[in-house]
Amino acid sequence: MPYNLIKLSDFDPESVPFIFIDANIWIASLQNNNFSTTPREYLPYISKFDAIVNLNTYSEPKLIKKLKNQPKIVMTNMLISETINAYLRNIAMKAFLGKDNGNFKKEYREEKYSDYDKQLRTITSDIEALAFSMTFIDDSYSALEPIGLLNEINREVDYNDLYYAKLLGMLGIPIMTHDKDFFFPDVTIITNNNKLLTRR
Amino acid sequence: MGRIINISKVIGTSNAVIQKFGNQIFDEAFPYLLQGESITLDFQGITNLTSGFCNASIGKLYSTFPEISEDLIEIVNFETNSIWSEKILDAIELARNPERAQVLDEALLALFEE
Repeated sequence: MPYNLIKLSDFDPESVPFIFIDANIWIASLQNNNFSTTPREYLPYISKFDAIVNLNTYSEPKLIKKLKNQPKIVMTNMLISETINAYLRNIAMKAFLGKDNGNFKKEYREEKYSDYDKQLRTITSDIEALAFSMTFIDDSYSALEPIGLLNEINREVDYNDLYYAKLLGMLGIPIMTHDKDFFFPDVTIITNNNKLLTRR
Repeated sequence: MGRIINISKVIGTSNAVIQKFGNQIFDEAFPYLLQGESITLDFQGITNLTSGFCNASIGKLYSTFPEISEDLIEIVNFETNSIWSEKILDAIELARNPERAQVLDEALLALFEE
């Protein structure tokens, strides 16, 4: 079973017609506030994300013809759900409560004076603003043999990660992620995560 | 109305959606504000807008010029009471509140811990 990992800096956005970008990179790209002046793990990913979206802003046929590919960002139902939920729980709630371990439902979503509604509007509008760069794909759940997936998960293999790896491997679409656990055969992984890269 | 900066003309697209484009607006506006000249950021022709763009452009201008930005920056041609308005005001608010910006930055960083 071949493992195919590409270092982020070696990845040319024009080299692929489609790419999948994980929820954490989506959130960083949509919400970075430029506060930090020091290097951050997420900044190289934002640069690549920007480069991919930038290629999708080209509308001149002559310019498009010069490109090797105008790469579309693959969006699935589960990825939209993960992006919205991870943003609200891990970013928006933390900022509102000023602590890491709040009760999401009680202290944030159902709290009358929280900024939940505004943050939900913002993240969904931000995702929608990039629709021109996306292609939407179905989840092909039955084709991925769901019972087989259940048998493959364990303490090191997250169900959603496994599902993405199977789906995108089947479609030949590379995945950009910083998740160190995202080590699967038969799918191309683009990453800057040294722990992942050294497993090659 | 000060020096007009038409956002779509500067970034070459109607999609104000990436930080690179926000940085281009910052670079365009920076010299005028440095000289104490007023600017007008014109959203005419923009069809899509993200928080990241607002932070990299308007937010960064407000944090770089905290004393004068309120008086010298005018923003026009977007619907007030809209989600765009919220994103613009959030970027300004964040620039004025570095403690909140730091919390958000640390939360983002935590998503990328190895």
